[in-house]
Amino acid sequence: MLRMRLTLLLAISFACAIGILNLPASAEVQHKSGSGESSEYRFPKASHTGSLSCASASCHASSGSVRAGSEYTTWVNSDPHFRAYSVLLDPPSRRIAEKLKLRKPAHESQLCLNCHAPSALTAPKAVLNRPTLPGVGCEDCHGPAEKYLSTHYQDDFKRLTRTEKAEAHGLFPTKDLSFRVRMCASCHVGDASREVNHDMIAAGHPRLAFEYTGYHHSKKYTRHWEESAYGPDFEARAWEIGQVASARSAVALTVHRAERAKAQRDPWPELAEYSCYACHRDLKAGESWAPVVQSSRTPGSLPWGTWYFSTADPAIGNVETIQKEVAEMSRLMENPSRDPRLVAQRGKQLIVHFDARLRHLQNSADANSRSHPYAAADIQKSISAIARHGLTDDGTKFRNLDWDGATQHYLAIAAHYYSWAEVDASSRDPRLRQPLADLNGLLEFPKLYNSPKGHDPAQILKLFQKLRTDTSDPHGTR
Amino acid sequence: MKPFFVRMFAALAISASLLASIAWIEGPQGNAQEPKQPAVNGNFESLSAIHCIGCHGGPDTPAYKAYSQKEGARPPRTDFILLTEYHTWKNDDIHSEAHKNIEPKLSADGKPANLAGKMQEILSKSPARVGKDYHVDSAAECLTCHAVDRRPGPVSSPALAAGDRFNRETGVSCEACHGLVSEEWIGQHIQRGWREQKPEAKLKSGQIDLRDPHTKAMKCASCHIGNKEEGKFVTHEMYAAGHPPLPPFELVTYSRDQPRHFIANRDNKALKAMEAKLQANFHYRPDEMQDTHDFAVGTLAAFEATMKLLAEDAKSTAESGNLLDFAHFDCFACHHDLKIENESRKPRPGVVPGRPVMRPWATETLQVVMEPGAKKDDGGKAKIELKTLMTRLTDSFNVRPFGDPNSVAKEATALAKWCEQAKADILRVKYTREESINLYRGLAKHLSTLRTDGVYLDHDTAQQMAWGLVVIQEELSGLKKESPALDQVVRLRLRGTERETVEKRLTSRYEQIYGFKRDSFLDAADGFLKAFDPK
Repeated sequence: MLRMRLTLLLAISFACAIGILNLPASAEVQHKSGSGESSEYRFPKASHTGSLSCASASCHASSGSVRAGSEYTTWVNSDPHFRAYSVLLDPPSRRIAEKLKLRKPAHESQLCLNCHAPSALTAPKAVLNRPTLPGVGCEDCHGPAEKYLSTHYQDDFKRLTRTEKAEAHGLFPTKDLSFRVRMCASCHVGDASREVNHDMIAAGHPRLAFEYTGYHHSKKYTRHWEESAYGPDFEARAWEIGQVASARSAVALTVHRAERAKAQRDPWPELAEYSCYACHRDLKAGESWAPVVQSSRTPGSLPWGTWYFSTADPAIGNVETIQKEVAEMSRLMENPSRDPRLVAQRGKQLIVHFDARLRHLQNSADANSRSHPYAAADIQKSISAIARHGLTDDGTKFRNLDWDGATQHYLAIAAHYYSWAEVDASSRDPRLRQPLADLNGLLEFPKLYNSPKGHDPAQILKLFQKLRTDTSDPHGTR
Repeated sequence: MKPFFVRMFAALAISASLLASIAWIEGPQGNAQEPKQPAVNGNFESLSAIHCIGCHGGPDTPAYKAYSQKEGARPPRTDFILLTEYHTWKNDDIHSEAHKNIEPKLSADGKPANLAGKMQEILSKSPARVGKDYHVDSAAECLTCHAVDRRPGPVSSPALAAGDRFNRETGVSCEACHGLVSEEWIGQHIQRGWREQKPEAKLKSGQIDLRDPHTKAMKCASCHIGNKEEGKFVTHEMYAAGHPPLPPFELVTYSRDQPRHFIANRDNKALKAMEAKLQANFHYRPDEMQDTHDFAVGTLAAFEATMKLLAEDAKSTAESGNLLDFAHFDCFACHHDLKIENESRKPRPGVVPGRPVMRPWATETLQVVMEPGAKKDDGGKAKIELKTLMTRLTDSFNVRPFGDPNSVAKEATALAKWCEQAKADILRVKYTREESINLYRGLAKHLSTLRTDGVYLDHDTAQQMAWGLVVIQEELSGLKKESPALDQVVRLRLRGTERETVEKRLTSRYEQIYGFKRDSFLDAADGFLKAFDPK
């Protein structure tokens, strides 16, 4: 089992993973856009029954973890979503609310509760203030239970398709990865009603940097389910779909912000969409990425979308039109103030492309993951493509990336390497293990820092070069 | 074109023969003819610094010998003017390296071997320059500050680089600050009546009135802060390509460490011996602490230059629809590693967290300089106005990330205008010993407020304040004050005695900036203040 990438993910995201994952009370918010794609579901109106209604010992609250029946227990004991509300009572949250000059403390502010505890929005004031109040609960991800609570354990229900379960009973189709990731993203990336912007980050909220496969593998997160709908190539499929779905959510948020930008009080450009560490680093020689990167940007301009789009190309699968659109969007966003409407227009086109791609990837996963999963050779090819994508054609430098991009490429290769073991452990190339483990260490933030202080881009480059060389020569003939 | 040294010797010979028959040593009173040329900057044909060397070239030149050692001259001629100016500039003043420092060097394998080489490599790959033949040592936007500009004006078209516009041979030499040397000036300034002429008359023949601290500070600031009308602006793109960050500015410190190639007014025996009417031509104010006065004027000028640059650039930004150039912002508000302990730091007053802030150093000591003090007659009106206008400027930066260029332009213009009145206010103050002590104590008080406020304080602001403290304390005590503790936190001298490469200076500056600790600074400043109690 490869666990190396988990620690890194904790470093980049754990503070922010402390409980965020839900869907708004009306699920329509998220799925209004796009037209007729496979991930669009029409949910019935239904009300919430509360997490406790799932907690019967004979249903979801038996002891243990992962095992079917122990979901509620796992959530309470080892899922940070459970504690998403209580963190709002901690001193850092109080400080954030003060700096943002919120009218109410964090645990009463809609801005915070939207993600941290949607059910608390309607809870009586007497209940608030208690650290035991659950944060993101069952129904925030699985849908309001009114219509499925008494039906979902019956045999008839189990025979329904996931679309039927969703549209007739309001059970969210979490087994549809393209839906699931976008649901995670509604908080972990942001959407029209929820976002973590640069003002909030400056006030102390951790940066959001969502990468699906990394998140559900986080050491501090224990899954309460098994991926029974997918085959051994789950990890590789989840990475692809996760990348496109996250990029789709990110660009939808950009569009939303661009359209809102007319009112001057709304921040535009939104600095949270740019590479944090392009600006936030000590300007000392030796720690700069510049010498090891071939960049097509204007020096000193703002690098946009470095987290959500740096590995979008290989995930999209070399569809040139989409790649061009992404590049054009990045170029626009380098100096985005001229005309936000243009950004919104471009972004909308991109969403259409992403949706089509998502539909394609999800259909393929549904049809093949269990019956014809990716073979070891496919996985090997993907790793090779990702390694090549990060570097220039001659392999001497990185191509347009910094810590964000390097980390995304690393996570992508790690996900595939993991998948390779599941698909065919015996053929997995052992030469990749060490550079991946080393990268994990090098990319990690040091203690007491929220940025890659003291990292060594030249050394990181060397490891990527090794990965590139080894994967372009699968049989180790050299 | 003849090589530089050939022309230099030719010039030396001319100057020497000129001196032999020079009018103002023996001859009749020079006639103070009104020069014909209008006093428009840039209308003079530059004759280049080589024409200055003959007389100002130092002890080894014949002119120096002929003039300074003239028998019977009492007091010695060099009481007023040193005649070693060129020598000092050439040997001790890094302005003489200004062009050399932007000449790219490449190593044998074609890789950049110095900062200029690195900047050239990065800038020529920038999308706007790809495919163009770009050289930092001949690009107009570099030469406006790294050479002598014969036709000062905006860098409208960088493609029309250099050509005849710039004299690149001598870096930032005499003419860059004193004005372009015209035949008229050369002829006239060696006439006996020259010193009696008013600065305005001298300006008409091209000589800029650098004896006026405000004019001088604005001249320094045109490069050391920026001046868009003269095409001088270090953009964020240049910084990103490697240009060292411009340090804060303090007039007396900059003059002292240049080092001075002239006699400071307080040491100028000839000036002191003049009648009061003539002394005014040189802005000499007897019975005043000149350094303290210059510090106050220089502080205002630095702010004025900052506001003018900001206003100019914000105006063109508003037209183009771009973001305000990041060079206007506090570099180190963004450029630092994200320490978790910083999260509990108090934000600066009036600043919205997450919205980049303007470079703050030019505003901090200005508040103290504008304290009512001797300006009691206006009841501190100027200071109150400053506060109101600054709040409005801060708000226009807060509106959205990187500010709203339209309102930034408007507020910065208002502040630049405020500076005109403020200048008159400062000039009304007589910086007697008592008044200097007031200002000194004002700075001390401001520092103790900073301690109790607990708000963010950046290295550059601290450094500019420390420079002011040192300048005033040295003048009050009459002693050169060494303060290793304070010097360790913020370098008190602009550079050491040894000449170091740009790269080395840059590295040590970054060490200072990133090693800066607010509390260590306040402690060291406390110690510095305690070591001397002015009476």
